[in-house]
Amino acid sequence: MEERLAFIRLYVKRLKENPDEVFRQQVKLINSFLQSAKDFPLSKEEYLRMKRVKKRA
Amino acid sequence: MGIKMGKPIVINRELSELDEFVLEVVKLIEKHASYVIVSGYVTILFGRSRGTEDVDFVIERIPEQRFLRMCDEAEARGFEFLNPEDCSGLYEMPVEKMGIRMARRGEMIPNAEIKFPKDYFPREALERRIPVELSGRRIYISPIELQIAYKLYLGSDKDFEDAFFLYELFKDNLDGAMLREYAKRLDVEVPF
Repeated sequence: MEERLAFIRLYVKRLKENPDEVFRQQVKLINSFLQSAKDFPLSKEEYLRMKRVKKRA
Repeated sequence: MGIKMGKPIVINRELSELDEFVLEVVKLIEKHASYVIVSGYVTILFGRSRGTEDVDFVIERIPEQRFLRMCDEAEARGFEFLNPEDCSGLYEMPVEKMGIRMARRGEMIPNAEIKFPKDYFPREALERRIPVELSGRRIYISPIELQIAYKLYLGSDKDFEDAFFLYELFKDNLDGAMLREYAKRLDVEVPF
């Protein structure tokens, strides 16, 4: 966890110093994540069931 | 470009597909109810580099007729609900403390989970919501202090990292007393 927190500290520093570049990369990542999630074949029922199970965990 | 702290907090940046979706949902909901965006999207809005496919909205508890108008308008605007109920049946879900999920018609992702406030914390988020101007559009999010405390309360690694991200980004602008008060109510320590 210490390593993760150190990474976040560094990331926030970069975000403050160079927001354009960091946001540009972040937007790419978010869009790519959404595309992958959309490509995963699930029905509405399966998706809702998955979310319910996740919340109970 | 970047984030300018203030009231509102101003963010000027390229919009992601998730941002575009959020702005469409806000345009619909704000006509019918007071709302606040909470949880994961709040961190992503400010640049946290992680994915999510759903955005959590808490809306004031509105009467059924107003909800039905919102539901009808959602459908007219090209949204659909993932839950199988019709508009009237959907209303019962947030009343019974469950979320309903709305997406663009024919899609499941991204989606908005919409709830009425079920206890003190979502009510507090709604009552003390803060404005953010995202590339010229106004949205309302939970107070950052409440987000940090609540994420610590949830306690998974991801939630802890979200809390730390918000703390690092906002540490010069946080209301320390407010953060401590929320942490105390949630019986968590702020370890940063």
